[in-house]
Amino acid sequence: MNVLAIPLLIPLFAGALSLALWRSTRWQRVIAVLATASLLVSSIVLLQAVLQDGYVVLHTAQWAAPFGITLVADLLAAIMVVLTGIIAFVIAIYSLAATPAGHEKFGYYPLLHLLLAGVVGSFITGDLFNLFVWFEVMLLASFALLTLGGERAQMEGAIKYVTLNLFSSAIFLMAVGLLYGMVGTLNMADLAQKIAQVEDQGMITVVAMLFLISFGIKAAAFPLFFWLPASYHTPQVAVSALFAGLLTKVGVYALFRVFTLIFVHDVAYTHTILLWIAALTMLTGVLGAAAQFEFRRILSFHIVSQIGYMLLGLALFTPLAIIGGVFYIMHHILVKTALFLVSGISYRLLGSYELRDLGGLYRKKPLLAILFLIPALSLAGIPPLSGFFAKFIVLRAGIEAEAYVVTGIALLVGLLTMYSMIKIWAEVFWKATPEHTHEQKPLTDAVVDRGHWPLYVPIMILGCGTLLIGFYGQPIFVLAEQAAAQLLNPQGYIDAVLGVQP
Amino acid sequence: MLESVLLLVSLMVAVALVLNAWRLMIGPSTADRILALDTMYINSIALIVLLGLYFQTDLYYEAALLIAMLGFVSTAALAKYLIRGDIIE
Amino acid sequence: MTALWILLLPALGMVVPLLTAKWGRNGCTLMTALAPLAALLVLLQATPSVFQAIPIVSTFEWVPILGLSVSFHLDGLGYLFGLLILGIGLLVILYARYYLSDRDNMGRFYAYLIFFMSAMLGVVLSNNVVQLWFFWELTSISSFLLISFWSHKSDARKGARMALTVTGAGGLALLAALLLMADVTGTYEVRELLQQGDVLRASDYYTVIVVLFLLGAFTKSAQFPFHFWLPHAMAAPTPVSAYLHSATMVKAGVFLMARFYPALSGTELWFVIVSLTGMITMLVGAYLALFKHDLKGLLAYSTISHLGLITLLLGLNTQLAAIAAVFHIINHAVFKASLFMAAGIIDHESGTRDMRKLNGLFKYMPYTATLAMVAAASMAGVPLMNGFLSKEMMFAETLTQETLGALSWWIPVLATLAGALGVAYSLRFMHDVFFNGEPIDLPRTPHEPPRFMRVPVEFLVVLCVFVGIIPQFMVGDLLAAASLAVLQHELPYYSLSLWHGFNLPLLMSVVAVIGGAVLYWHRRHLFHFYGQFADRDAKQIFEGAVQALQTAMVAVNHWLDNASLQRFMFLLVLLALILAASPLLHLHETVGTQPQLALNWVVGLAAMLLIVATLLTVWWSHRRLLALIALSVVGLIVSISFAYFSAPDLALTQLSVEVATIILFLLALFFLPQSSPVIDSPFKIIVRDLGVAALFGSVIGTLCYVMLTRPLTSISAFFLENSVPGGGGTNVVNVILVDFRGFDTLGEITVLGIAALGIYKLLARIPLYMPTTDSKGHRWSQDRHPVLLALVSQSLLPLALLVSAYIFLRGHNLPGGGFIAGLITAVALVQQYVAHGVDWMKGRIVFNYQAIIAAGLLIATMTGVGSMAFGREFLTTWFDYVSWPIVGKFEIASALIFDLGVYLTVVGATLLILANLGKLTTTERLRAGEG
Repeated sequence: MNVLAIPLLIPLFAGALSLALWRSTRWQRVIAVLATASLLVSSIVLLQAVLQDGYVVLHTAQWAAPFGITLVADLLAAIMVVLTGIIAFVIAIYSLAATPAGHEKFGYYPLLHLLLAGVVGSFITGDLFNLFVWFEVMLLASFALLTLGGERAQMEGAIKYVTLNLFSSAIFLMAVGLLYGMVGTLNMADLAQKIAQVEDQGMITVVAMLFLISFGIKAAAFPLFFWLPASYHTPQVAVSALFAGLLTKVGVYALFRVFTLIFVHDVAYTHTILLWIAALTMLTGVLGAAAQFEFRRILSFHIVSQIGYMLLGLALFTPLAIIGGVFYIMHHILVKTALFLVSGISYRLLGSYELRDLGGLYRKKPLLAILFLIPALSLAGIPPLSGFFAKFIVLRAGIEAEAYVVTGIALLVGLLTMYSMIKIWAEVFWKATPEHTHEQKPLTDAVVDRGHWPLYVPIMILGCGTLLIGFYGQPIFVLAEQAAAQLLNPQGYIDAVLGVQP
Repeated sequence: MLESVLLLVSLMVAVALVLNAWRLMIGPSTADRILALDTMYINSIALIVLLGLYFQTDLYYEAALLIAMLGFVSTAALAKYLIRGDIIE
Repeated sequence: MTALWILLLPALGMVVPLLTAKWGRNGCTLMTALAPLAALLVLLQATPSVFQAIPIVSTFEWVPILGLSVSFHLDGLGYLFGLLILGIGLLVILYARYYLSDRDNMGRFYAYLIFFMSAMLGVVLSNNVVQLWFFWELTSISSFLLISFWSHKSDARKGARMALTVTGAGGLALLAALLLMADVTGTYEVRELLQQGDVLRASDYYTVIVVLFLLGAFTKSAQFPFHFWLPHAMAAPTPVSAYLHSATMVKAGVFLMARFYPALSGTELWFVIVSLTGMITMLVGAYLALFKHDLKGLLAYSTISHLGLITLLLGLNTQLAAIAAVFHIINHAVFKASLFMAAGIIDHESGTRDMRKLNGLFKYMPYTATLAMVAAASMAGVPLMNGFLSKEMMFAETLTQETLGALSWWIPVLATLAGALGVAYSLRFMHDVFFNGEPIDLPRTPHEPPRFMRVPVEFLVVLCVFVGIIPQFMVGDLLAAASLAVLQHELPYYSLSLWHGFNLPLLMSVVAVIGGAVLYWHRRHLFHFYGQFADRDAKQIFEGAVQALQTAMVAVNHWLDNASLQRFMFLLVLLALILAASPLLHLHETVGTQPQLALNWVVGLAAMLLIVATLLTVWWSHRRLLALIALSVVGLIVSISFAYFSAPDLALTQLSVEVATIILFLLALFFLPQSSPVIDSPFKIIVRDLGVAALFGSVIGTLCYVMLTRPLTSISAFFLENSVPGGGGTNVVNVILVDFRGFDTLGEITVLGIAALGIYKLLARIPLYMPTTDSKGHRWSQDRHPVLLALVSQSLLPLALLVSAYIFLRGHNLPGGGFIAGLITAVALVQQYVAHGVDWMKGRIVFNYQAIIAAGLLIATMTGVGSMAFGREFLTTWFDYVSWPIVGKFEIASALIFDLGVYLTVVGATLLILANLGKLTTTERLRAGEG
């Protein structure tokens, strides 16, 4: 049972240790790689345990639920933790070569580890208020990482980020307080059980809406997502990539968790609102992306658009739709991180993120071109890559659920996404390097420049991941199916948590 | 008997608090306002001690102690701010 | 397995060109051609079974749950297309070897070409609709790569983008259609779908399916109004045009219509849409072809026209028309490919494609000219050529249909007109290029191409002639097998003989030929007529549309994302308001059943004070010091109310945090202007904001009231019962913090540590302005460390530390705890900073604060891990009672160590923040680059 605590303890320790070794960046780097690698390994062990037992439960301080804080890992949580491990490891490797020395001296690594601790904590907690605590860890760590460079653009972005996210926390706290005031418990399983006994179900719906807003802000849903494009393109690339891959997914995970476990009493109202929000998120995200001309801003808007697909899976609320949502989360984490890392390499080579300053990478750096093309096509939904499966399942679920308008919107958004990826391909890779860039930073003929291998390896790992999900669709699909089945069966969760005595 | 006395005294202290607040509002100088705040601290000490007497428990006296100590610190900081601006140098 | 191999061989052969590129042009070409050749042999080997209508099917499961399988089949139609793809493909490979210049990357070109070949084979051999769509998209992508092969040319890039966008959009529509079809019939296998035609036609979704399906097919086959991308794809190298845009890729659309003919055709809707579109396309294509001056442009529009012809035939809903369509697919592929290759030869040898400059080439390249003219004759529909036969069949079919009722005779007339135009532009091709005077301004002197470059053209032209003369022998079986696959039905009687007697179709052909010649003769007038219309370049329209879309997006984006934090907050609050208020409206009553507490004067006054202080804070928001003071009042009253509601720990915490906050703010306020200029938003905005804020506040207030007045059974009873037996402490709040919910506390001190780190970093390079006078303009006092303050603070320190230790140790059983103790210590130390200054403290504090935070975190975590070492869950506490000599019964608890971790973290974090803020104005401040 303590196997559940390990993925959380590792980053906590690593963070504290890196903090203690404040002066020595060399040791911090070593710790970073070792810690993230062990996080990955322990997360896989956790996944295996969950596959075996269905649910892995840990009652901290050995107090039974609902009185103590329980950590619960069902399949979805375990999958998310594994993905966190992968991304953490990949980003750690990338950071070795990409982090400016100034950042490293001011606590980049401790903050990285503590952020990961927050992410893992959010995934495995079984207690609403504990979720709030880990959200705070994530919020502050990400804020600190955002401002690490000290540049003006970062400050502006960070202020918007932190203000809107603090508002989200405030609403979260209000909602938790109201919920406790009505139901009398904070443990998620216990809430799921007792919520049906509350007299005024209308009040529960209100609280559900407040949670929707709070998690929606975190997940960058429409119209709550504006903090994302305002801030995600400002910090250094490893940080951008980490945020893009993980942070919004925590919000999505939280939405999945509460709207399949706790707030399932008024599905007609809550999930219809979710449906609208999903459709609008998809559209505004991709339309916003089409209006951008900076590499990372385009990608940031695409994050928003893809979040819409995941929310669509949740909103449709059929087994196939939830499978689609889960699949989409898995695929998107890998693909988005890879794309951001590619933008980082192009910045390294050409010195800018603006599309008008970039070019010529197709001829000179074909490896990079392939490494861009695979995740980009996956994002656009081209088979046999992972994105195709995810989109296909969601579309099919939409047709079966007879939500034709939304399915049509999803198809249209897919087309616009492809257009966007082609735009980047044309501007960054195809067209020749503009004169002014060529003078300042000419491209070498080497396939991989010296010292750049730590930048390429992570993307290759992620690209392989997306290819694997595509080609071995069957086992991954089965995994997603089991996870979805668990999500749609709250009683299993409740039994696992409340039925077990320490 | 004790109860009604306590209630009366609490009311008087509460009125004192309100008068402090009034002074805080109208000023006219910042020093006046800081003094008003400090006096509010003192009045709160009284109020908390009275509360302890009312509930017949001694759990609140540390709160009074803390208000006294920390109230001093904050007033000193505010005062230094007024004269030097930079409170830590 | 056969079908799979036909696809697999080229797929594997994709890498061959890349690897053998170093072997020289001939070597590379030979090696590249091996895989398609092998595939062709496999295909031919399957000929007997195909001709006997025994289909060859192979299936592999992939993701069965989703209905995704890897499934191939080879029937007559697939065989036909396979022949076209592989046969013409091999010829194109040979042709390209001579066409590509030395600067072109041959390996990459061949690789893309084979990629396309495999994709196209995938389309025609797929037995699973999703798989079919997959290969469909791959053909779009490979076409994109091939069109943009000369990526340095901007029209190549633009053409490729346009092609991909249009066909991509069509592809999406096709996916929707296929998914719907699968949903209606319950199967994803093509062969099974074809049997369910009646189900499909009767279904409610038939219309939607057909429209979406045809969108996909029409975009791919460049039918009106989606035809505009094809001429722009001519920016590709000619081998690509010959292969993709005449023989194979554009045929994918008509292939699709032919493949799903038994399932979808036969209805009024199909007839109207398909044949009308085909008719219009045929006419428009032929008309525009006549006026193009670019060789490839003429051929492109001619292709569009011929595809329109095939579409028309597929739309006529008769079996003979379908057979005619299949026949024309064969014929058109053969002659069009050869024409494109000839045009490429002309371009290659003379340096231009402009027909106004190219004249009289016959005497320079007689042999090529003859071949080209034969092919052009076939395109025009001259007897003894294969084109004539299928055109005849088309004419015959148009006569027998009754679509437009009494006006049905329009169709054959229009068909004849199209035929005439076809003859006209073919004549133009023949006459204008090879005769008609001398060439004008050619970049190169034209001459015959290398021997082997002509071979593919020769082969195809010979085919044209032979099929034209002895069609039954050449293609009879092939046609029968393919038509059987299309119709899924016994074939009606038809004859491929050349002479059917003097009948109407023959007359129509003759009229077309004569009419075409006349049109060509008077072409000057026609050109003049055409010149009257403004030249609407599709590319410009497309790019214009894209640009307009872009501009619109930017505008919308600008409005949404105008970077104003206030607007974001407004939207957020508004949304929260709407979503939270709506369910409230359905609630029956606000007040619940819970009895309410009595209100007394003291509480009332305190509450009023609280409200007033809060309003003051807002009112004074631009006079920051005053706002801070008002805020302190709020904090004070909140502490008192905590005390009143019997929560002494909370009161203590609130007080300590209050003071730390005041000091923090004062430190920061020094660097800010003492008062900000009062720039008010416009009055309307203020009213709006006030309104929304008031609404939101009242909604939240109502929620709280509703919640509080309902009865509640909570878990708190458990905590009260088990605090002593389970946790070892009588202070329930503290036991909850460090024992029951210790995990939360661990997270919270992590938050504190992170905040400290973040602030520490922010202070590092921050450029700050120190004012020399205060807000009223008085200069600062010179006394840096007033003696009185220093004296008093010095005696305060040990007392404060004593109180801190006392509160720390008693926390488990009485109000107190690590957090409060930590804050008291921190505040006391800060007071020393204030009183004595940074230098004085530097000598006395030797450790750095990061280490303290790290120590605190580590101790807290180790306590949790320690319990794991004893076999218990993470963070399980342990306590016991011991008796000391004088003190008596004393409790030892692991929670104390945990609390120590909390204490250290709080001290370290608070001091890190406050001390470094304070150091900013001294020489001790953090410089850039230091850690």
